[in-house]
Amino acid sequence: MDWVPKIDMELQDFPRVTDRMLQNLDGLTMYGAFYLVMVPLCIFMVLFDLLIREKVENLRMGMQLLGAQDNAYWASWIISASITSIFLCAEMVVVGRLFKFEVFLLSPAWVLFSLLFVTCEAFISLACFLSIVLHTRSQAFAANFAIIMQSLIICFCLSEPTLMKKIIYNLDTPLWVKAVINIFYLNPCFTFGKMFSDITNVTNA
Amino acid sequence: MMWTKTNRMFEWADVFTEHTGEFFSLDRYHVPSMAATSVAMPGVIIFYGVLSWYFDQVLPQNRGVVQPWYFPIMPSYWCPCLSTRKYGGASYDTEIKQGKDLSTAEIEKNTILAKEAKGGKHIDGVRALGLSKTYQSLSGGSDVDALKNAFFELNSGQLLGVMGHNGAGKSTMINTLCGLIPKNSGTARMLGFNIDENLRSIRKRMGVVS
Repeated sequence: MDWVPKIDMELQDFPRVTDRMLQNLDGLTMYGAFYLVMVPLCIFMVLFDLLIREKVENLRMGMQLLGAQDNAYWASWIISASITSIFLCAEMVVVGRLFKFEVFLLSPAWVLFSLLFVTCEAFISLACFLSIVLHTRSQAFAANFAIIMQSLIICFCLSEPTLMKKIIYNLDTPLWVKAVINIFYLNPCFTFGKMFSDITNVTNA
Repeated sequence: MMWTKTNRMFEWADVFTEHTGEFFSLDRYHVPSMAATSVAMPGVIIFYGVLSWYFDQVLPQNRGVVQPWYFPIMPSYWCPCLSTRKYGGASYDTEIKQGKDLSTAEIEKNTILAKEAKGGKHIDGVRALGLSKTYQSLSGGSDVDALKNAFFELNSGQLLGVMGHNGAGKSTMINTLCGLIPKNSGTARMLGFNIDENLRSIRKRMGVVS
C-alpha cells in the first residue's frame, strides 16, 4: 500500500459579525446620568451631614447667642457649597472633555456646566430644608439614603428614552398618574435626568 | 438605536425642540423641550428655599423660641424697628403670699409683683416673672420640673451669682432667658423687651459666654 490517503484541511476562524447592538456603544450616553449626578449628590450628602451635625451639637444656637444672624449663617453655608459646586462641576466637564466622551465634545461646555451647577443648587436647597425639618443624625442618615436611592432610580428611568416616553410623557396615561409623576419634580434628579437625556438624544442620536 | 449614529453638535435651537410621537401600541407621547423642563429647577430651589425659611422660624429645634405660625403676616417680623418695648407676655403666678415665715424666694416674688402692680414694668436689667420649665419624659417616667415659678430681678450695674447642685436648673434658667429652649410658663423682660415677643431685639443687645 504505497498510497496513503490524505485529507486536505484548512482552518479558519468562524466569521465574526459586528454586533450592531454594541457598535458605537457609548456608556456615558446610556448611563451618564448616573455618573454625572454624583456631583450634586456628593454636595448634598456632605452639606446635609454638616448642617445636621451643627444642629445636633447646638453649634448654630451657640452662634446665634454670640450674635450671628440667621441670614449670615445660611449665606455662609450656601456660598461655601456653591463655590465647591462650581469647582466640582468644572472638574467634571474638563475631565469629560479630556477623556473625549462624545456627549462632552458635542455639547457646549456651558450647557453641561450650567445643568450640573443648577442641579447642585437645587440639592443645596433640599439639604437646607431637610436639615431644618429633621432633628437627629439617625433621621438624617435615613433621609440621606432615601434621597440617594430615589435619585438613582429616577436617573435609571430617565436614562432609557423609550421608558421615559412610555411612562412619564405618555399623553394617554390617567390624570392621577400624571399628578403623581409631578411629585417627582421635587427631586432635582428628575429634571436633571430629563435635561441630560435631551442633550444625549442630540449628541448621540 | 445605537447603530444609526447621527451624532451632531448640540445647538441652541435644540433647547427649544419638543418631541411628539406615537408608539406601536398607539400610545401618544409628548416630550417637552429642555427649556420648558428647565423652569422646574429654579422652581424647586425656590420651593425648598421658602419651606426652609418658614420651618426654620416655627420649629423649636432650630432656634429655641419660635415664631408663631402666622409670623409672615406680622409687621414686626419684616421690620424689627416696629418691635416696640412690650410688657405683655405669657401668664404667670400673681398670688402674693402673706405671713411672717416667708422664704427668700417668696419675699423676692412679692417684691417683684408689687413693682409690677404699681406699673413699674420697665427695667434696664432682667426681670423674670414666674419662669417655669418642665422636661417631659418620653419614656413614660415622671416629668422633671427644672425651673419652677422663678422670680428674680437684676438691675443695670448689678452682678448676680447663681449657685446650685447638678440639675438645679441653672443652665435651664439661662437657656430659657436666652431663648435657647422654650419655657412652659411665665415670662421675662430684658432691657424692657419681652422674651416672648422681642427675642430678636434682646439678642442684639445681649452677650452670653459659656
